[in-house]
Amino acid sequence: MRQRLLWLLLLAMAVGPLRAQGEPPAADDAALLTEAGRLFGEVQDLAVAMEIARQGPQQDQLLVLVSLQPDRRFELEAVQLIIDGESAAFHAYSAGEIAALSAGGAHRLLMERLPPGRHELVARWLGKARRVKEEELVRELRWHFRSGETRRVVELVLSQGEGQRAPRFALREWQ
Amino acid sequence: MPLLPRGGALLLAGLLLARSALAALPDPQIRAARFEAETGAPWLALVRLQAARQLGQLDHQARQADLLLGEMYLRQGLDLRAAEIFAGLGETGGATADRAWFQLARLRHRRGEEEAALTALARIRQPLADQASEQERLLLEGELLLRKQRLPEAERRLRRLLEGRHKDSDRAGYARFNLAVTLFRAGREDEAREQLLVLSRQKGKERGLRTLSDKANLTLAYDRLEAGDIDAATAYFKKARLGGPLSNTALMGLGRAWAAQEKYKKALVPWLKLSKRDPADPLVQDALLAVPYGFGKLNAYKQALQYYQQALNVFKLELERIDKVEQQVHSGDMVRSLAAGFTADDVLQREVLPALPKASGASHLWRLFATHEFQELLRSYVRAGLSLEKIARWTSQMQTDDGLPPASREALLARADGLRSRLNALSARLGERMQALALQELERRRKRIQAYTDETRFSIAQIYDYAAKRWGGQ
Repeated sequence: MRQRLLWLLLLAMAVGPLRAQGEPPAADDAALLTEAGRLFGEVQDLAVAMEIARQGPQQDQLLVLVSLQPDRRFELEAVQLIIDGESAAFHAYSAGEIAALSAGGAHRLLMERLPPGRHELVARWLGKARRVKEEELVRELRWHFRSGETRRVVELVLSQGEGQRAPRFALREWQ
Repeated sequence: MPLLPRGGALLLAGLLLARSALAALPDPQIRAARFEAETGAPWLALVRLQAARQLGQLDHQARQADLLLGEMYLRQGLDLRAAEIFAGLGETGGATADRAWFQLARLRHRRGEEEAALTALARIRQPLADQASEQERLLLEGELLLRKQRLPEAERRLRRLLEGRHKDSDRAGYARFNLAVTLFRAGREDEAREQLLVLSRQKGKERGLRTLSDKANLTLAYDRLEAGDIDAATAYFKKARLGGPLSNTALMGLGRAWAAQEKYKKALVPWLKLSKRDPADPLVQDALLAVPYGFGKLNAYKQALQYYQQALNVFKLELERIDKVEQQVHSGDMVRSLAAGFTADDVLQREVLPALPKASGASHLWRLFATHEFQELLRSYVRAGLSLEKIARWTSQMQTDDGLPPASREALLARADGLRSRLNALSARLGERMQALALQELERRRKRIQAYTDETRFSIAQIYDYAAKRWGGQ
């Protein structure tokens, strides 16, 4: 009989890899855990409130992001931003970051509050091109815009440029 | 690394990409959240995404943003928030809704809310796009239906998983074991054995699969033992690894298989091996009594007495250890020590168990530590501590951040202060609850070992009594 019970015990252990052993918490513990969950949510909300307070008025904001589609013709190493002649951001990409970009991610390169008025943004992609004599390449793009009216969200896109001989370097403004 | 154009470098004039070319892409802020989560900043990603949603910056792609937000809440252990988002998204229809119901089902299952998990799974309309999620869905639904004794439905889900690709995966292994359980409960024992035999023959290197294979071997062994086929039972017991997590069960079973044939000399081999392992394990305690029992059956009373005496000593030592652990639990050292073994990442990984404190006798609490209830309490306790650290850090940042408007700063500092008090109170209650559970478990252990001690003393007395009758007190 005891062996039968052991067999049944083994067969009853049909828990997949998805949850710890045992029954769900007792009612008192469940209430305590729910209270804990709510409180952790409020801690998260405080972090979000700090982030929003730091961002300031939205109409002054310029957000610049970088994305890419993998292209054997150009190996991205870094991106530089110059606003109104001043260096505003520079980021050298690690292999892990390039992989995350290639998988469809976008890198938040710059989040800046700008004084109202006209501005010039210069974006530079730095990297290596295999079929060019001197491998180190820089692609540059200029964009003029106004701030103080609306939040500007800009994506610097390195795409494959279907049917083209060279990869495509572009700027897209999102609204 | 070139910073500025060099000789030979090419310059292109500004080019604005046609809007239609990227129209189908998610908003870059959604993709930025994915990037940050992938590159080691998942918490920052969540904060920014939540802020963007609150500010209405992602209203044009609300469903995509919310699905990601829900998944990120889940990853950060914010289950209640995730559940709210998934339940809302589930009502919107389409592939996003199916994905949301799946995530909600996983969350409900993890919290032990089985009926709610099944309800969420029933709302999924189409197979999930990626293979791994679809396999997980079928395994989860099969497991839940099995628990509810809805056997034909469970069988259908599990067979569908086994018919798919990746038949040798961990998930397929679990599905096969659960299918065996389903068939057994449906009275189809021969079919159940066939499934267990497949697992028994599996020779994967993955830990999960090998453990399943051990479990299948042990189940088959006990099955054969019950049927009186001792040779087959012995063979299955031997197939289970002696170093795996189920090895104590295998050793005890192997000894029983030999004992069932009255081959006590052979039975003593695994029992002796088992009796030298951690005496906090009830199976080892069983072995400590099985060994002298075996010697007694061989009429080797001197050795039997010797091993009974040894068992008494071990039990005495274990009772002392339980007393020591109890003191550590009372003082709060045990909970603090457990919490210290959990890193900030561990606390979010539901599969990670806390490292066992090195305290003598702490293994008496291992089974308690592995329960869902205790783990959830411990994770919340650790999380409360981490949250307090964060709030202390943020408070000092807020006090020195010139970018914050004064009114915002005051309001944020007041919120931080309120949260600090509530987190401290929560932490104390969680600690007390874990202490109470640990003390209950130790009391159960103490009673069991006390009962074994009494049994051992009785057996010793029986041997002396037998010897006195037979040899007249010599």
